[in-house]
Amino acid sequence: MQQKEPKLCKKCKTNKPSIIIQKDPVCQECFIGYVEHMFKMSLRLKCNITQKNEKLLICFSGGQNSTALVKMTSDVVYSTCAHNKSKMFIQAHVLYINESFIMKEFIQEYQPQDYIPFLTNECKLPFQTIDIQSIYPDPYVLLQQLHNLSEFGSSREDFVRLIKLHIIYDYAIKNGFQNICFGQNGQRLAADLFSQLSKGRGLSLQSATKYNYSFVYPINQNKLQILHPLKDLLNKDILYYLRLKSNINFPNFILGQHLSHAVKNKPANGNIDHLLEQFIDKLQEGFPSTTFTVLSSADKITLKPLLQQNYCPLCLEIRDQVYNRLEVETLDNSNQQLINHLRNNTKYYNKICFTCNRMLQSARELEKFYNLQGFPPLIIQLADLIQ
Amino acid sequence: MVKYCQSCNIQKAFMMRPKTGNLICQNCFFQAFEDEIHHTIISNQMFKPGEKIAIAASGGKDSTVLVHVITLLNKKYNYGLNLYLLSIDEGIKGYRDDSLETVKQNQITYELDLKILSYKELFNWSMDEVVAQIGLNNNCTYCGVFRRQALDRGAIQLGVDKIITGHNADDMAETFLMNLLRGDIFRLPKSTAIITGDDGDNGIATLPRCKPFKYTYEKEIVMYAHYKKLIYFSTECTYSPNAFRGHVRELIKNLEAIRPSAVIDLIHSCEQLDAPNQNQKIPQKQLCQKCNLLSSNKICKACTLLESLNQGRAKQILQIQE
Repeated sequence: MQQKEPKLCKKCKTNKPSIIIQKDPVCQECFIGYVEHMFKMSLRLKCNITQKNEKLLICFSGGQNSTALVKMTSDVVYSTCAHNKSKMFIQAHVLYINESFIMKEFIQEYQPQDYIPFLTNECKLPFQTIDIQSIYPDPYVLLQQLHNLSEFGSSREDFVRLIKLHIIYDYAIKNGFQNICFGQNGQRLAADLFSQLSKGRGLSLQSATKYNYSFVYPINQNKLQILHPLKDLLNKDILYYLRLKSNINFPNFILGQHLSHAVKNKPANGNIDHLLEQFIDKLQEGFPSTTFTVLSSADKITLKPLLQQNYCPLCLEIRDQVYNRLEVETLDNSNQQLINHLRNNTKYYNKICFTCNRMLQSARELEKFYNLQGFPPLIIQLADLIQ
Repeated sequence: MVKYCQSCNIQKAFMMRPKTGNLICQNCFFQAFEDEIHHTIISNQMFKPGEKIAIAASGGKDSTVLVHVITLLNKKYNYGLNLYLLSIDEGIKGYRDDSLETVKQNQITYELDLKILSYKELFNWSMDEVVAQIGLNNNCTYCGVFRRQALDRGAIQLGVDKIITGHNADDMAETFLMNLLRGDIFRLPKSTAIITGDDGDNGIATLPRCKPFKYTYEKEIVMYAHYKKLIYFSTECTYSPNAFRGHVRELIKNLEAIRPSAVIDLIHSCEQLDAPNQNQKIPQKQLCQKCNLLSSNKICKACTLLESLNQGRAKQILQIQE
């Protein structure tokens, strides 16, 4: 009776395989080599990081993707890759936005994490920590705003994301960083894309999933490049990479984890982002080409030309066009009066985009939001500058 | 504590409106439902006075409500339309034969002419026979392609100017996400188009299909039908839809549960999309060499599928003879 030959790694044909990459079984060493190679190629060819001493701002949140991003960046800077030791002469700098101030308020179980040993001892990259509330003249206004926003539909999470983006862009410009790296892998990008579409942000199709997206900062017309060098990787690739390369596993605290009973009864605890992550993850398991089909489609889509390219001061995205009244209001008199009141009696209503309006709907003290009362001076300055 | 309607603040609220989550009384709900459909029709210049319109009627909730509302609005706002009912009998025992009885009832109720076309008479195949031949894989593809052509043929026979269908906001949002997941970038921008088929590419005019329920939620259609006591057939197709669409349908329902506006927000997102750029290979519209109806290839999809079915039948007959 013929015995079956033991399967071997498709790449080295020597070792026992431990993971499947694109239908090929590969061993641990070849997997690490593959990931490191993908990262370098992604940075060089797709993100256009080709100049010597090019400055790169790495956004770190403590999540698995950004942890992997920092680790990979450190390896290419210090030539500590497991396989190809070729160095990349880039100036990488890590930015961490400390959200403890708001996490403590909304999550009972929250424990602040110490990322410094990981960043300094393991990765040895220069880093900067900025407290999220530091951008506010009165930090407690931020907490009040979050309490006023709806528990449902990721409104609070979206608001925190906007504030963080403002901090990141401001830091990048003040410190001469043209390139800003985010750690989302391909699967996360696909989920984020669906999440943005579900919130009405169709225009994000042109930027949300690109390797390299150019963005002009409205205040001083500085050009920024938003990079997603981990786009070719999936969740399982990142998890396995971290397991092999680093023992780090920072717990993931999600804003809104400690929720009211009403919200816990909703799908995905009332969080649109989590719902779409679960959706994409489930589809990816059953249909392995899901992520790359979505990303490939997003790359080929074109958007309708807009009559005017004006920015929303909250999200810094271009304000999209509303093609029919029924997209924003219903004809049952339940919200038209409110919309008219806000339009005529607040300073910035007409400058806020469709999706940010959705984020603010059902919020309390709406006039304060639309007058940007208590908001960071940076955002007010942007709002005054924008048409 | 008595809760009042958030629209009129006079009547007691009788439900929470699915689209907004706001409390609403019955009268305000009916009024808003009809007004929004009327606004959709007017703002998109859907019809012209004197036009002949075929209402695709299956006997289900969407088409039953569509017949009711269009008839009502036609009279109320003097659209000046000549309305016809057009039904397709796919030949599914225990499903379509029952729902057609509902359509016949609608014909009497609304005093409209009704035309029923069957797959059997058009293609010489009923869906029961198709499924017996190919099994339960891809049977929805056959049915969808055949129904599309059957509606076109029925509309031509009636001599109408347009077809209206009961596709609602949930359907459109679902189609948008399905096309994105399948990588069908050519269909993406048209996923939420309210009027399709009127672009007249290459000088080939096609019968426009209009969707007055573009901004109408499926839940609201069900509630409208229920509280207006409209009679409709509510059983799902015997040959249930495939697993992939089921995932997307479940997602839409969950999104709606979290944020009621999510369905409209998806439609709004799709509205930002444009046709694929010139670098992409866009299938050119032409007339099918066999049936002379609109096609993206020399032979249309319906004729291609029919050919494969007929070849299969011929093989079976030969096997039996042997």
